[in-house]
Amino acid sequence: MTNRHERIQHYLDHMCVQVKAREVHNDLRDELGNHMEEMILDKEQEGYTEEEAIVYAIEQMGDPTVVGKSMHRLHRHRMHWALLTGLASLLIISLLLMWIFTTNIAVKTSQFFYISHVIYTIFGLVLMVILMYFDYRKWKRNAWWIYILLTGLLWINPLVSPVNYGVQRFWSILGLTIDLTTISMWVLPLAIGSIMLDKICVLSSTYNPSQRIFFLWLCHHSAYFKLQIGYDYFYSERQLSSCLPGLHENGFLLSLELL
Amino acid sequence: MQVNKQMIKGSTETLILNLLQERPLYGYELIKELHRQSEGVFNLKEGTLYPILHAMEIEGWVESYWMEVEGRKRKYYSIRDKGMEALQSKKAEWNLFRRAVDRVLGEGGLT
Repeated sequence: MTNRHERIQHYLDHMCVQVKAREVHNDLRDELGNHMEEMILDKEQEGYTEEEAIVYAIEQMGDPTVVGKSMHRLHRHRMHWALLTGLASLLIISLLLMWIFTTNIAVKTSQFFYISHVIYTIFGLVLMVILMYFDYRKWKRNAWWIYILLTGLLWINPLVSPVNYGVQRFWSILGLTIDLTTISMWVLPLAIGSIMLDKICVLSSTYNPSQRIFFLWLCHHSAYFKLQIGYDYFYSERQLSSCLPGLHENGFLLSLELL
Repeated sequence: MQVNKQMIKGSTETLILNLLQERPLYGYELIKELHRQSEGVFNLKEGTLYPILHAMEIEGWVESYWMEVEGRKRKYYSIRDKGMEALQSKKAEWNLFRRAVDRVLGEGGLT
């Protein structure tokens, strides 16, 4: 039994070496591995020995290098050119606007705005490249912890952060300012989404297309909801800030979570 | 009698789509079904099938989903609208080809 398993894994290892897109490895292993196991079982029922069945299955699958290479060609990372053009044009517009805006004003501090804008743009681009190569789905099983941690921090946030610009949301830790509300706006929907995905899968023990659509809808909806609230606060902050100290937005986000 | 591999190659996609049109199938089932329906003429190799299935999924002709049956995790493929359209045009193409071959062979008059 172990021997059979090892030889299937050995075959799959050889195939996966060829496929550079590592995020499809698990899928490929599950699919082809299960195929081989079923083939071996069927052969054994036909009266062949285990050894013969394994040899037959591996032979039938074909050269792992050849299969792997054709899989690699299919699952190559393709550049999404439309997305890249959109990103580049937005970047150029924003940099240009900031440049026009700041060079026409002779105040020293406004030139600092442009420099910080450029620095943050570069920072964002670096982050984007990192995210491109980092498979963030690995964090999926930690979804509950991320959710609990962020929610907990949101509760603590108003207690520890000073009142800045009339709002209490910028939490300074060792000189690093964290805007928890904005972070949770992006991270919480992701965490909730993956928790819900697990729930859905447990409920029916299967994963079919209609559930996938439901999951996407859920993700989209929660993200949109969060964004909307984020923007609303951004614009109403100035008027509200004098009468409502910081707690309001954290509180609102939390009550949304509880719902 | 064995059929030349080159002859099968061009029609594999059509055959797969046609099988998926009836019901969703997983890879191993697809090979067995093709073998059965062709009365043993088509022995599709796994190394040929999976790249075709994956390519068709990327193309949007089929979609896949995992399902646990009899304690086994199986990846099923089902046909999509785009795949249906592709199947229709492939079938038309095949009929044209078949009629032309028949005509030429028939007029050759050796048989």
